[in-house]
Amino acid sequence: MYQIALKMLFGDKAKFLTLVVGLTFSVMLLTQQGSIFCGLMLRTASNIFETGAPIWVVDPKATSFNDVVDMKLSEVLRVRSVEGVKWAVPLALHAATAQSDKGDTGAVQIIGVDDQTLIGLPTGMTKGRYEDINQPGAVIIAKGRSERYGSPQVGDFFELNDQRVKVVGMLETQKSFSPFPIMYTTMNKVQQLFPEKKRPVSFILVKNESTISPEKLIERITAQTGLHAYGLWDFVFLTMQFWAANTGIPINLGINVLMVLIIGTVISAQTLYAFMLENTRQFGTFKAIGIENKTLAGMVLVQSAVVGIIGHGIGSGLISTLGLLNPPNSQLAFYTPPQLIGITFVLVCGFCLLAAVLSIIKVLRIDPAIVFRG
Amino acid sequence: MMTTIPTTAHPIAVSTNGLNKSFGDGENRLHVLHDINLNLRSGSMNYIVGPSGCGKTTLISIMAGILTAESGETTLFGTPIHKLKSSQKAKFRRDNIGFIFQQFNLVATITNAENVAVPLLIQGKPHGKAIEQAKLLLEQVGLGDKVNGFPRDLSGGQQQRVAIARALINNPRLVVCDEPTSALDGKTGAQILELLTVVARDPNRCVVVVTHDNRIYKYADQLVEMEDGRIKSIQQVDHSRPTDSQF
Repeated sequence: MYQIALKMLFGDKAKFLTLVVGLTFSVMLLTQQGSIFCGLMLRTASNIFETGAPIWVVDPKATSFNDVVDMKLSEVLRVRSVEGVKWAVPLALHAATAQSDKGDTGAVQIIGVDDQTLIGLPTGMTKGRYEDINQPGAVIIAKGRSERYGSPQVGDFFELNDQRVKVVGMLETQKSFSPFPIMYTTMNKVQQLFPEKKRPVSFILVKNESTISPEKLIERITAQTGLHAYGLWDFVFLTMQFWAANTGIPINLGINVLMVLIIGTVISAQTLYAFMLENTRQFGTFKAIGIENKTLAGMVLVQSAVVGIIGHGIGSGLISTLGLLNPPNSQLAFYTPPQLIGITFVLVCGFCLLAAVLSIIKVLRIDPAIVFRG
Repeated sequence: MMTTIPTTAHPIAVSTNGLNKSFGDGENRLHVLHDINLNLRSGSMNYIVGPSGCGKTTLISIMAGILTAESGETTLFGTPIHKLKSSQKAKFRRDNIGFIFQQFNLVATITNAENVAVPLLIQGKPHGKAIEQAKLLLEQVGLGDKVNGFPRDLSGGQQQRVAIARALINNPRLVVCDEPTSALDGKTGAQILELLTVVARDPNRCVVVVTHDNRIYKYADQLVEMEDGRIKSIQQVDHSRPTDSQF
């Protein structure tokens, strides 16, 4: 009878399309909202991804990339002394006010990388040379949000904490959630720019030897130094949690998702229920002939599941395609991880099940005597 | 043509004893069946006739185990179906009763063969075997070339033939027909009744037809006339006809 149930479903193409389109829109809305949330969250951690370091060491009081407690340079040496550390380099993150020669003024983030290795400096240089960062007063600017300074070029000058710095390169970096422009320089120049800071190091980037796993080394560093070491993704999630907790993004997007869930459930339940109502006489006939209730319920569940799977496939497929078409670094923060597809699938299963249960209740209550009414 | 001589050659297939049925509550309560006592024999074509609202459809619904009477007993082929639970009644209907409806009640989106096969599929028979059996039966009702077609492409008479094939595919002992000709023209209705008459020749089968179409009374073996929820008269019709069935 399940084959018959499917043929009843597919047989009326107009009704079937109505069902699938309803589900598809619900899935698209859910996946779109989820993708924006994931995209925004991913942008909060863009600076972490760009360093490429597998292990991040911070002061125990630090809660994220954007909420750090600075450390002394000597902490870098302590970390280097831990067995299994291949390399450990400092990374600084400080805020300053910059003024361009054209008179534009605003806050900037200064990221200081290790002078010798330049570890922490993102790849993607579009103008200039990496090694020029070692020139006196040299900074490399991340494009994107630097327009507020009139789209600076290589050779332009800025005033930073009463010191003049020169732009020696331009970087194409990932879009960040933070609205402030970023200037990269070396740790030495960070200490010159912020002479009052006795603790210039914000993070210590670490790479493990091949003889030890990152997880084991993280435990060892934490135990031996008293600092907190995190794997790349753990630090990413820590930073995402910080932004989620301090910006209200989850609540605001969560309300949207909740609305979509309600609308999706209503659309799905209403369309499936209407489909069942239109088949009342057929189901009544089956009941008169002697179909068992569990078989009847199974037929409705099969119909509901098939609509859900097809609707989810089309909906998530369309949104994923939109995500792929969205150019990197566009204004639209959009990322559709496989886990999101899984979550929306579970949600769709949930509201298809709810719709099916409502329909089953209706179908089981059909009085088979209706078949004798003309 | 009509006589009052009862046919006693075959055993009693359907027996009702003191059936009562009401719908609604309080002032809206409508007593539709009053103390119905009736015996229908196997191998016979039984008509339940009377004006609209006289209770004939309610009576066959109770006979077929679809409705439950407030009081009284219904016995089908020795089984007291008034004592069965809902699920047991469904199983009993599945194995023993075939239904033919006024509006045919075919599923528009499945083929004619699949429509015919539904009772077998409900019994759990494999799809392929059920379809093969359905095709054979469709050939017997003259629709061998329509097995893969859909009900929407058939005339009313052809749809009713598909419905008859569906009603017979599980070889039921009781066939219940609700106004089987009222949606058909006179000629097609006569053809359908001739087909049902052949069905009723089976000595192990009882056919019950509810109708107010007096053009088809001539096909009946027994006419049960109802009025205001009561049996007004029972008349036996004596025909001479072959006793073998092709179904």
